[in-house]
Amino acid sequence: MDDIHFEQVDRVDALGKACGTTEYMSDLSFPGMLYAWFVRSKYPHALIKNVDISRAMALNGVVTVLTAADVTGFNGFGIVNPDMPVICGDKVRYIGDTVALVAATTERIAEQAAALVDVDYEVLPVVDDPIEALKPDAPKLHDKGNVCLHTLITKGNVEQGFREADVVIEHEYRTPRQAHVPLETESGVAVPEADGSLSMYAGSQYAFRDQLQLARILGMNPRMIHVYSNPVGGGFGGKDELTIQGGIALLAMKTGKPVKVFLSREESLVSGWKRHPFIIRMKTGFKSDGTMLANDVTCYEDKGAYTSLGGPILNLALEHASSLYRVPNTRHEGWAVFTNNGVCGAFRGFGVPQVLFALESNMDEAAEQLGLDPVTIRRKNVLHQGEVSPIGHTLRTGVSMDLVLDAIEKSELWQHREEYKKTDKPWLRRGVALALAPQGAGLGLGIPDYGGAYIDLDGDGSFTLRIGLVEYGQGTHTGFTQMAAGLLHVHPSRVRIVAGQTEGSVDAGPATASRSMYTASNAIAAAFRDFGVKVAGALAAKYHTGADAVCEAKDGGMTTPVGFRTYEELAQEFSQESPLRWEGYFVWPTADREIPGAAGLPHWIYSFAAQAALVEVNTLTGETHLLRVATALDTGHTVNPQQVEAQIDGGVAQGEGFALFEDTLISKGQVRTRNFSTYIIPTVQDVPEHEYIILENSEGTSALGVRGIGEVVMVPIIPAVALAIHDATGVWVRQLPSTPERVYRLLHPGL
Amino acid sequence: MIKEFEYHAAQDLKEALELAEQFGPRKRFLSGGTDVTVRLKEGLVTEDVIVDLSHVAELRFVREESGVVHVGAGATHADLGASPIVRQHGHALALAASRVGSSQIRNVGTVGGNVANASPAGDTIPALIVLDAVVSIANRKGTRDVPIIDFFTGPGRSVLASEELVTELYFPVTGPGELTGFGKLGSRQAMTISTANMAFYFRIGDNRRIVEARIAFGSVAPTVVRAHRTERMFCQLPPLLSWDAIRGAAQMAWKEVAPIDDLRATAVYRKEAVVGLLAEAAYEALASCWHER
Repeated sequence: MDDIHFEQVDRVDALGKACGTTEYMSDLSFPGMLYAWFVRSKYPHALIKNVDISRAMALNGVVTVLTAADVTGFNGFGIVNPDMPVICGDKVRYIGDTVALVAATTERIAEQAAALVDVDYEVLPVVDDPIEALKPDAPKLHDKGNVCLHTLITKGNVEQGFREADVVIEHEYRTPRQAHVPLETESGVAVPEADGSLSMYAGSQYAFRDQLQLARILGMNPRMIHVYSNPVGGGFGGKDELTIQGGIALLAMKTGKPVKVFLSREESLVSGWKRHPFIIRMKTGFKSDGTMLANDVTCYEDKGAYTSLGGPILNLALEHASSLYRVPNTRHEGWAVFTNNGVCGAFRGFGVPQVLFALESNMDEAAEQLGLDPVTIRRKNVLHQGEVSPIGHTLRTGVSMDLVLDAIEKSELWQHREEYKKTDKPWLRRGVALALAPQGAGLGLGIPDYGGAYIDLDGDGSFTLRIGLVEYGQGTHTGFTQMAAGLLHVHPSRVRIVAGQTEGSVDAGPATASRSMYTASNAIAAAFRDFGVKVAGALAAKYHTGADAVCEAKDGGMTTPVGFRTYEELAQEFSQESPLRWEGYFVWPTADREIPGAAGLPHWIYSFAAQAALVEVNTLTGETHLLRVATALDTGHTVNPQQVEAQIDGGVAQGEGFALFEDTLISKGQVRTRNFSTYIIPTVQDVPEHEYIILENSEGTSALGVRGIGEVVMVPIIPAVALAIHDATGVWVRQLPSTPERVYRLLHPGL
Repeated sequence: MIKEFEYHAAQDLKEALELAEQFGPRKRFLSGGTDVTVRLKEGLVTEDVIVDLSHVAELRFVREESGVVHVGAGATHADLGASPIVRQHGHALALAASRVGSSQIRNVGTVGGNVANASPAGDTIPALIVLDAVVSIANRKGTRDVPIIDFFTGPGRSVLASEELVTELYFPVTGPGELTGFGKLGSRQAMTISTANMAFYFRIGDNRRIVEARIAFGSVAPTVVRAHRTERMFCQLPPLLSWDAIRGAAQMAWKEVAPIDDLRATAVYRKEAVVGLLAEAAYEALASCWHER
């Protein structure tokens, strides 16, 4: 099956999105709809003494105001541990915490009423430093303390490794609190239905998990909750966890009316999920020929106030803290620590960008000290299939570290880097650097990771593909229809897709973890096999052709024991059969044993990319411009070349933002970057020229040979930019984003 | 939440001035709205009447008369950036206008609004200062002219009385032998408030020396400031293209600015950065008439 050649086709959603006719969940309106307002905490850390809603309730147009006592089910949510209250009752832990919910006839009235909710607080000291928060006398956010998770993974003996090393590089690195900033902020409509059920229309990354979390909050049978979460106006991980759904669900069930909310950008930036900032202490030992001997890593993850996915993110970071390099002695330790610094959760890359910024930096510094070039030192250390990883598991699936490294070395940018680095202005310096990254795909060991897909043969001989995975911009729905069409031997326009809803599509797990295309490839292929079996069986029953008859897709139909049938003919032939549905289910392959003490590790399948960056630094101001990027990416098997390039474009922009611009600044628990004039993301004028190098090293465990690529395309660019600044100026960047002032201060240490 | 306010759209200058007199300090003018609407959202507009000037067509012009460039207060940043008159006779202003915000903002934001707003970070202001611009101000009874250097009294404050309106800016044309430039430091290439900005004017004499210099810095003091001592340093430069000499002259700017720390940058970095902005732009401009030894 992995020999299918995919033609470039337009995105299935291109026309609607380009013309503005696509209806996002936030575009929906219903008769009698009310508007919600979330009353947010005034303090980042405080006890709630009393909540008085009487003044708010008295305002004309207010329909209801809810407090913690009104939560009908369990007052908490969270993918791993439901420790985040939907409405806080006794304590607030960050400035975006909800203390009450208002529903009113207009958004304006709802906002006015929110200001009339009187809350008495007893202010507590703010915990804003993850290392300080670990001290025994630090104020505690949660009863169990401030440690969300502690993980230690060791292999060999790092002290022995450092004794044998010729060069030891040791530094502390810091990474930003990046915000997802999707165009569509957290939003949706909760609609109570006549039969007592609830329909939730809210863009999110996993309708089926939302359904279960909402059932727990409402205290309802999950079957009574219908979630429609597709399409999504951007996610990047920020809509993996619940956001506003619990609040509007409670309001809708209480009032019996549809309830809508659409957060302002300011409220989104204050209350929404972010990428965890990491403090990374990394000590790496090398032999004089560049061979890695030991890597000792301690990560402090600023968890923010609630658990969400902070544990798995810490563990994925630790899995990647020595990349897929051959390191005999490792010690990877991590602390996920609760603070009052907002809330952090899933974000494209899931902990990997943070640690690889540190590791690739130590790598280049060692190379410089040893007189090796950046390609040579990496080539000496990259692992191959069958070898043992730095955390001790054997790499059984395809490893493309060497392939992407070879490809980036041959890139036009790297080959001609000395010419690119020329500039005739005395104050400008240009530099080129490269980095590479693996990115574990899928949910990891011990977490059920499965996908289902249905293929329906419709009455007109076209198909409906039903699959849970949402489209939030990645282009996956185009890829899914191409994969189904390729197997069925029809044009992709013959395949319609129904996705991201608990009604009418089938659970295929979350649209996260670089897993959508890979999961879908196997689920769709399984459904297709079921299709052939069932058609053959039905024909055998009707025409007595024998039980071992075989059907094969060909040229818009199937060859059958009774001759070629077009899909139109098959649809007519079996029009009495109900349903004309074929089902495929797939469970991810995982490692046979867990890494001791590290839940979810190891991952089994990886994505691979290498990137090179050309930057220009203005030594007078510290301004850094990313001028050109080369990306070498292993797709396994490219389904849609344009979407692969688009993912690279977007990943590079998001990685550039991490490296140069983006950080949610919080001081004493208060968010200071509340809009786009202070939370800086790259604009089209800041993004670089691209050189794309697409490799197709088929992933053997995918029926179509595909790998996920959505995350890895933003990872190597981050260290590459930091290291290119070094190549340009000689200074090492240890803290991101590398803002003009930070670069200037590195250039002028006395300032 | 945007508060409730009274809204009047003036159809011509006469009506705008009548409304200004009628509402006095209760009103706030809105021209392109790129600043007022943001402030409304943030609850920073204290006035309860908005007088919209965007329909006052007679304020939107750029023309040259008898060696003087006249720019209407309603001319947009896009108008200035595209105007052959401004590009030729007030190059620094065209450059500054082209660096404001984004295309969308430049299409509606006006030079009159940028000046009347009196932000120390306003991008057109240093350019207008080095061009020796004069601000024409009107009220219902008449007009008065104020040199732009005397117009600003503090951050967000100016000599404008509540019944007055900026109608025009005018400045003498620059010609051969006169160099002007603009530089801006922000947090990215576009859509950025200036962390610091700078404009200069150099008149080159027969001996190719700079015989007159005007230099202004923004975002580094309560108002945009002239840097007289730095100007004198540039007038003493030998007419040779030397990076070290030009940077050395620019270094004096350090002594002439008084920035503060804010979310965008620290004061000490701003002092360093304005030196760099000036050195870089001056070097590029002087390279057109000076040569290395």
